[in-house]
Amino acid sequence: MTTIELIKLNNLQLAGKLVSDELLLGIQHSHRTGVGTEFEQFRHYVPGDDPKRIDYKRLAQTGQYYVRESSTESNQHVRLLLDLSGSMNYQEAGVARLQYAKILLASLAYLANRQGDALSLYGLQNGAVQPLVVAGRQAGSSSRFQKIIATLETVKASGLWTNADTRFPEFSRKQSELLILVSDFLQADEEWLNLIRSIAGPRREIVIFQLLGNEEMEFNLSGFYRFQDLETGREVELQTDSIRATVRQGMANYLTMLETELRLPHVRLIRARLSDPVALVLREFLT
Amino acid sequence: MTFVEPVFLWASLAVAIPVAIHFWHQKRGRPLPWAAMRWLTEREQQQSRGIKLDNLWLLLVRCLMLLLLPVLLAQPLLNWFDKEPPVQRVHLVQPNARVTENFRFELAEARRKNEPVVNLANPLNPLALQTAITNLPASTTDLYLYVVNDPALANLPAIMVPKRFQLHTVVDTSQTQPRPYLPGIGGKKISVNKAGTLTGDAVSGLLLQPQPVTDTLRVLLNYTSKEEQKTVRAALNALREVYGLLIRIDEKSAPNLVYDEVLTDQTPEKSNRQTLYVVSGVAQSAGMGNVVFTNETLTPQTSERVASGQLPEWLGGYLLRHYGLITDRQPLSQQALQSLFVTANTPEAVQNAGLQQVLTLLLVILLIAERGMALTKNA
Repeated sequence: MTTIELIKLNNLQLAGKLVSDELLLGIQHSHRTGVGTEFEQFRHYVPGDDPKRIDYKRLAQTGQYYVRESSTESNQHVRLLLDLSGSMNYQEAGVARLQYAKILLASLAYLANRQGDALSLYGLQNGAVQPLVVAGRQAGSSSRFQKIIATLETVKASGLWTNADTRFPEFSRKQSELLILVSDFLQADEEWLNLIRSIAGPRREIVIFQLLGNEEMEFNLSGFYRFQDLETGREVELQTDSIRATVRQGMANYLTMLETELRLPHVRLIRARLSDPVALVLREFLT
Repeated sequence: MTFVEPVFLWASLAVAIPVAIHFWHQKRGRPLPWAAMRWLTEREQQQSRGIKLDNLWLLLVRCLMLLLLPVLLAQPLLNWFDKEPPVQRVHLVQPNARVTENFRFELAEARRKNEPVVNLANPLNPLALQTAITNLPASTTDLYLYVVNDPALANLPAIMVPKRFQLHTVVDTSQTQPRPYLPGIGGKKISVNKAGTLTGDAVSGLLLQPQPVTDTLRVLLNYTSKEEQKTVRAALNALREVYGLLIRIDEKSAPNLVYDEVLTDQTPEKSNRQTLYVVSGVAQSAGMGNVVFTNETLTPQTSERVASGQLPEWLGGYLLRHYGLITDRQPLSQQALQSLFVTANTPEAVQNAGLQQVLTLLLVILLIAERGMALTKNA
């Protein structure tokens, strides 16, 4: 399914499911149970089960042998971080960067929810990381997924991207973390890269999805344009033909710089175009 | 290249409109929300506002359309292809001694240059004059017309003349021409002098014709009413006594005699051209030159003219006019003469239509091209 069709669905949950299904074509939807704290169901004891797992309280109540089952619980925490600066409103060929990012995050959340990972959602606005949906002890994982989808539906992008004074919430947990950042990542400077370098570690994987438009990467515009900055509203009138070479060169230099700087252990940079199908990008990430 | 309606050419100033719109549009770039502002440098900005034509062909086509439309409306006459034919100068001359004398040098020059000098039989006949002019090729003729400035010309209908036309007139001041005179008693010559009075004195060097207009004025009175006959005879006698005119009055028509004047109260069956007829008591307004009608019966009781004693003067006036002793002819003014001749400058319609069609076709082609270009550029 194309990105435009997914946007037209206007339903992030369905879009995420469709993308994931496309990705996991042929994988069966069998239920996996395992050992964990969260109760799932009772089932009759069958020979071969570990006698330790027989629930004796239940036996006393009913006189039947029951085995207590829990849902599988991974100890992976997936933190989704969505850039909400104004530049995310950039639109190309009917696909806005924010919409693309939302579908991408919804699909990731769907996948993570399937395998029982803990999920939380953060927004990055005006240089501050704001928790939107945080993984808590009390609520079930399924309801948290619903909450994330609902939050994603409503968030709007505005404001500036700032490089200084960005702090990530510190988590001194034993759980391993996966931090997924979806952004255009057009204005990151050395400070931001240092931040990423400092928080990346064996227990904290960082995946950066950089979403770019074709014109941003190749700059094939021709004619006289009035460029309006999506973040500050500043306007610049330019004859694109005369600056095309400079813009292309600057962009290429910046992208290579990002690639070399982020060639770090536990950091992955995945560059996607707004014209790419979401499933294809996800596949690149997962394989 | 000439135009039928050159006023429309002012509309071609509208060509400034698309040019102005073009530059106005160029002032503002197409708005584009943009995220990657980091690599857009502003130092090229000034250059972009210069005189730069991006849709040059479209602009050209639009300007051409706006130029073509006024030209089409102005109806140009194309005469590039046929070379301007040599202009033949033609002299139309009224065969009149005054004219040939007055324009002696011009005509001699014309003959020396082998330019045709055509004699105009009678310029006062509009048909003959128009035919003589129309027979010449209108577009290549430089017509010189030499005529006497005759007041009778004013009665002519408008004469169509070629574009190149010059009128040469000479005023016939009859001073040098011998004047007619009437015979008087005792060999007196009665004529109108320069002051306009009838006199029998041969003074003031007035040039008179060698012969009087008639030997004796023979007048026939033929009235049914005795009263009227008496009145008229008295009037004629008064003329004879005052001016000394040699008048012989007959009461009865003599056969084989041509009278100079016939005074009667019956419409003459056949009129003689040399005879002046004064017919009274007949209600008929228009006379025929030599026949004068009056509806009054010429008796003191019925005619105020007779009662106030003006009958001799009235009769004498007709007599003088009949023999051409007085002429109430003033030469025509230059303006009146010019208005007589109308320049025929109607363009040839056939040649016109071809060019119009070509221009219209061109306009349609331009229109299609403009639409095609505009739609593909904006698509």
